Amino acid sequence: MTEPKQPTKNPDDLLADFTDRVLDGKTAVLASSADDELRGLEETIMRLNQVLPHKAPDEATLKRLQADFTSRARSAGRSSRPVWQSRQSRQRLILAFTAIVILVAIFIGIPFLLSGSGNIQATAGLQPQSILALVAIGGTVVLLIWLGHRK
Amino acid sequence: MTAQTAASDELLIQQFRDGNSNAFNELYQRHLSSVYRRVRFVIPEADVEDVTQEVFLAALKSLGSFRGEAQFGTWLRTLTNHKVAEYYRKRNRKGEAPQVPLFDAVARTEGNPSKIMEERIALRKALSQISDQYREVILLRFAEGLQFNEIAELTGQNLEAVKSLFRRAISALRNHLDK
Repeated sequence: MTEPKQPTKNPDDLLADFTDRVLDGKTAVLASSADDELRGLEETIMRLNQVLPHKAPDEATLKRLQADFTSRARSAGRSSRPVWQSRQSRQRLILAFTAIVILVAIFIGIPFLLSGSGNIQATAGLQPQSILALVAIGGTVVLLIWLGHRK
Repeated sequence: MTAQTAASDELLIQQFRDGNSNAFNELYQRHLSSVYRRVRFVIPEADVEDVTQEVFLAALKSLGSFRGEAQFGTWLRTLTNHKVAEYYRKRNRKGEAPQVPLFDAVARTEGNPSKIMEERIALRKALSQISDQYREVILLRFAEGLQFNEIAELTGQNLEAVKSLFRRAISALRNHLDK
């Protein structure tokens, strides 16, 4: 009379169990499998475990990485942001645009205001109105530069 | 545990989109270890930290376009795999020989360092040659340390299917190693 057979595990379960034991550090030798193919797969598991690093990083490494990432993210944010998306750059663009509008207004408006008519006479050398216009332009530029640096 | 640490990834993503940059820091801390381990399994030690940080920088940049069709962790794994592939593409373009720092191999395993170096290169090469599906199950079990039942839950397969996939993956790896 033969003894009842133990239910045998399939190769998938055997290899999974072996892998669990190896990764838990419970087995350092190959399981005594009569199956050559399974034995070969267990060897591969052992090689993977021994050769490729797979342990979790320690606390110090994690902290260092976190600090490094914060600094990288900051500099990446600075360099990759398009110029029009930066608040400071946007303010400067508005200032530059305002300056251009004021300059154009001065060039067009000053001769009319000073002469009281629309006739522009051809004259040699700097006229008082031209000097006034230059002073106004200079003043505007200085004011805009000061505003720009105040931010 | 604070409400912030208990928050789900999805909630943190929403908070980040609403302008809370600390929410991304929380996501970073939560997923750093698994990304680092995955990268370290397949990339030479000297470049592990750089590639890990690149993964998170890419995540930070493209989180706005994350549509939540997959879990954040799954999305991050895909991003990591892309960065690893990009790393090897760049190296191949430069024509650099595969390398493993000697000090790393000596420090981790006793024995002949050059032999270990060769082994590491051979294993990584074989890993790069098997199918994505096979590589993924090996990475989840070895690099990320997930149990088979956790892999089953993550991938939506039953446990038997995952174990079968794992055995076939190891078999494919072995075939490539024998070539």
